[in-house]
Amino acid sequence: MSTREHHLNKLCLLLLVIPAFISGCSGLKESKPILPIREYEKMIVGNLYADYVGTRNCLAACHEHDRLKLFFDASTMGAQLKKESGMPLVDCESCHGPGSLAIQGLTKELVESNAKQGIKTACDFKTLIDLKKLPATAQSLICLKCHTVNATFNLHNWNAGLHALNEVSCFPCHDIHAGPDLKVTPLASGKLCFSCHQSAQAQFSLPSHHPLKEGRVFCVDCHNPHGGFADHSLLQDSVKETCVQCHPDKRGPFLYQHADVAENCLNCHSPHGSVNSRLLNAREPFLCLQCHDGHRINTEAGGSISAQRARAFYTRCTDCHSTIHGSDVPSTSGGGRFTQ
Amino acid sequence: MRCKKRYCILHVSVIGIALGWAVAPAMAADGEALPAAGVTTVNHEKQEPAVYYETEGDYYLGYRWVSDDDSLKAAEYIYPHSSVTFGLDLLSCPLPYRYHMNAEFLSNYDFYTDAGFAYKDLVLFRDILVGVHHNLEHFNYQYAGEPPDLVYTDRNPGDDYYVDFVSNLLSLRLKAPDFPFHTFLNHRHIEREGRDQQRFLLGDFNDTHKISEARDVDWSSNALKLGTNSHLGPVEVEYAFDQAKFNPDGSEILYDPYPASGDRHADIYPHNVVPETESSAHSMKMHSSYTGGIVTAATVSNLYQKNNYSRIESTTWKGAFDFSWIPDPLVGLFFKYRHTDVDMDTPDTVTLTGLSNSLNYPVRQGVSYDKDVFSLSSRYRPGNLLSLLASYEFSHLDRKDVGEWVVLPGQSNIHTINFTANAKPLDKVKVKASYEYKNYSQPAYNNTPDSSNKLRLTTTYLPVPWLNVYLEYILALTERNSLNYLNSDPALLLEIGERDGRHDQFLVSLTTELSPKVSLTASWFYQRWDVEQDLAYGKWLMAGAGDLPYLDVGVPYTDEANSFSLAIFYLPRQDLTVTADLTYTITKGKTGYDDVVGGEPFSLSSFSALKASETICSLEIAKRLSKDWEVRLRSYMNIYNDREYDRLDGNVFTTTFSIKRYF
Repeated sequence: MSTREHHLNKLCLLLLVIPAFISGCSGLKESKPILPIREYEKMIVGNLYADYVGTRNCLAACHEHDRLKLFFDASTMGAQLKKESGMPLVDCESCHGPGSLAIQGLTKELVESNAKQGIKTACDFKTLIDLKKLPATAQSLICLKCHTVNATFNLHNWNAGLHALNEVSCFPCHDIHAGPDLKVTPLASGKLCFSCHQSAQAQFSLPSHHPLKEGRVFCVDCHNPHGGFADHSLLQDSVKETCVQCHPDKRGPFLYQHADVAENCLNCHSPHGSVNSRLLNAREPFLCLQCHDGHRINTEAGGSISAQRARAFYTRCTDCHSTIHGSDVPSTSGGGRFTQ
Repeated sequence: MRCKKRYCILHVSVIGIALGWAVAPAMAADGEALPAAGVTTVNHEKQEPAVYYETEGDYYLGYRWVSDDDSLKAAEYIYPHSSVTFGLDLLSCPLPYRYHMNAEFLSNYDFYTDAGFAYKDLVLFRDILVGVHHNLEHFNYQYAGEPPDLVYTDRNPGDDYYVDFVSNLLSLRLKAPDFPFHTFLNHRHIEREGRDQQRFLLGDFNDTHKISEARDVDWSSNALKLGTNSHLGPVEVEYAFDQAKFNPDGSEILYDPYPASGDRHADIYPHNVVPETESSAHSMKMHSSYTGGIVTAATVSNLYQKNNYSRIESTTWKGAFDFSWIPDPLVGLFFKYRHTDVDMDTPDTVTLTGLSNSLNYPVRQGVSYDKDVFSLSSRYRPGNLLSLLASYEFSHLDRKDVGEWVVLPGQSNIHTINFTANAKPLDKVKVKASYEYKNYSQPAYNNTPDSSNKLRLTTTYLPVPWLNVYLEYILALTERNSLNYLNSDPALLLEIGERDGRHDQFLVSLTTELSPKVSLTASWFYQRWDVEQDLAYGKWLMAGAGDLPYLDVGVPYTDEANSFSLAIFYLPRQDLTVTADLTYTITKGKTGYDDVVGGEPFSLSSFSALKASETICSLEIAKRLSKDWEVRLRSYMNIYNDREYDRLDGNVFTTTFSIKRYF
């Protein structure tokens, strides 16, 4: 079967699968939007005896929270959506649950009188959802219940991704009260990731490393913490596609390929750091000798080659095989020896 | 040229921000009134002023003195010249507009800018511009050789090699009013400029002329992604189109006179071509509700890549399907499927055209393959103190047209089993333990094992609130029997030898808050990689009377690193901050090649040994002069000691003085 026919068959199959998939998902969504994890729904719905009182009557009422509210209003979520769109309205109670019990007994007079005496009027926050003690999946659901209908494709691979699987919720990385855009800046991402991935941080202290601790390369240049197509939550669909973002001269395709070795740069390189130059997994020539037999080490007469020849052939293979990532020119001896 | 491009990028960023600022009032006038700002009273009697988040931030101006000595290895990512420095941090939210900018400029070739503009949730713009100077190694070519058969030539012996790297990542997302329909644009621009050491061979094995010369690098790459996505009720769908082009500009082909060899006449031939390449991709994503007990996500994409020098093309189809099911808080099931189908289109022959001659050469068909990966994971969480994970993954790689690739098997399979436990046995102790076993059938390459075992243990211990102890240990063992070597004369695939590998990694870190004014972090990182493998070297008898290679049995290879670091934060007074870091790293590496011929007048191991140490110190003192002003002094020192060859010995010392104003 030709490649074209093969792909045509795949396309036809895909056209059948997509409607079936939509239909199936439609059924799932319509019947029980979040009910299959009923227990989590109970956790994030809040106190059933409390009523929603609106942002104006809860956090905004306490002056200490003014700044939080300003940040929140400045955030993307703060831009509220019209009711007609069917989108969820986002305010304090969207995450913390209904707040009527928390402000029960508080009056304008009491708040103002306390404020005049320099006393902060605390609400009964224990009646709100205790977000920090929720299981990670429930914590994430607090965010996902809105982002699931907002075409947030950053999260496309979240649910089966490494962080979700290992019960890391949105909270350790996103502090929704901390700033206007909830995003982690590239510079801050290193510190954030290394709070859990400490050995990765240590690897960047090895002599050969990407300039991450220098603040010029960031974890998010290579990794998507929300998950992705490839292993290790890589930003692109494969190791090579991730590396060639910044090393496009290695992209190819080349006339002479290094078999499928170069499809996975990790066969030879350790991107976080290495004791060897150019982030190599091992020093040359051992790196290459692992898979290739070395050049002749004896002479025609049977004795050993000279020290000079040995140095020439057993120091750095890439002195001569300098197009090792792929070549478009045949070598002197013919074929793809990556020398030219 | 360099300046023009860089200014162009800066202009795009600045104009983007300025445009945002300029159109803001107009858009505000068009937009609907904001929801009422937070009313600060319990009842609604009092009308609050419109929400306006006050502009805040800081900027600084300073000067950085740089001095270096010997090799620039110690200053690998430092532009080795003193320069003015400045920076800006700004956050401004005249709602519904939001602006931010974080900028740090250390030199013309060392900078970072992150700038953004947003209007409600309708417009999101962000631009991240990064520049870094990378000092590259100059490999030694000062050897005597054995003229005329073995000659070393360094055409630029005194040159320093470096690359100035610039990356600009721009993203713009537009949303339809009142409905989650988005269009987006992402653009990544990469530039590399500088001088690299180009090493190459003139001649062949018997007539070896090793050349090193400086090569100008002036490369750029542009990758554009355009897409749209929307919420469509039961599912959400995204379509995106990617296009990328790599342009090596004027230095993509080198020409040199090659001696006659075999059928090839002496002539000037091209070599070390850096081809212009381009790619395009279509991708479609679709997922169901993220909040369901069952969540599904699917991706299909098609990637086309082309080499504009050799006209090679490749097409890749990719498919992904994720399925997660949480029937109960105790249990979660996760399934992933990944499919990759790579189709290489390679010609059978290629013509090498020299100045006066041309010659046809055969080309091996590029490796096309199908790869399928199935992964099934389950999670069991009996309580808050314990969580158990188990997963199984099966990977099947089917290589096509590998007849010419003698050592490559047609198929390779990998089975992976992983068990992980997260536990909190005591109130102040958290433990994570994981074990992974991999089994490879028909591994293609010698550094791929037949089987591997990996154990990982992580512990966090907080005995008292002011002390945190972190421990991590990783042990990985690999085994491989029957290695593959391709002997050239006689041409024969040898399946002999074995290989064992062991990787140890250990990290202990202690963070303590000695007092409210002093905190200290100390850590030790240890890494060791041991492998013992049978190696093969070509054996020469007489022309036409070949022999099997020499086998060097059980060659040990070791890499080892110890890194110690100490970080102190000290607040002697409210207006004075002292931060100090010290890192000391020792690296060692050796290979135990044997004298397989007998009487070798050399030791192969001596050509590639490693013994080095790196000491890094930094000290920063910041003094707040008033509410608005601060002065800062930062010193950094790096001493690299190449204890094996002394070639990379060097040090760098920088001092930066800056004055900062908060607003």
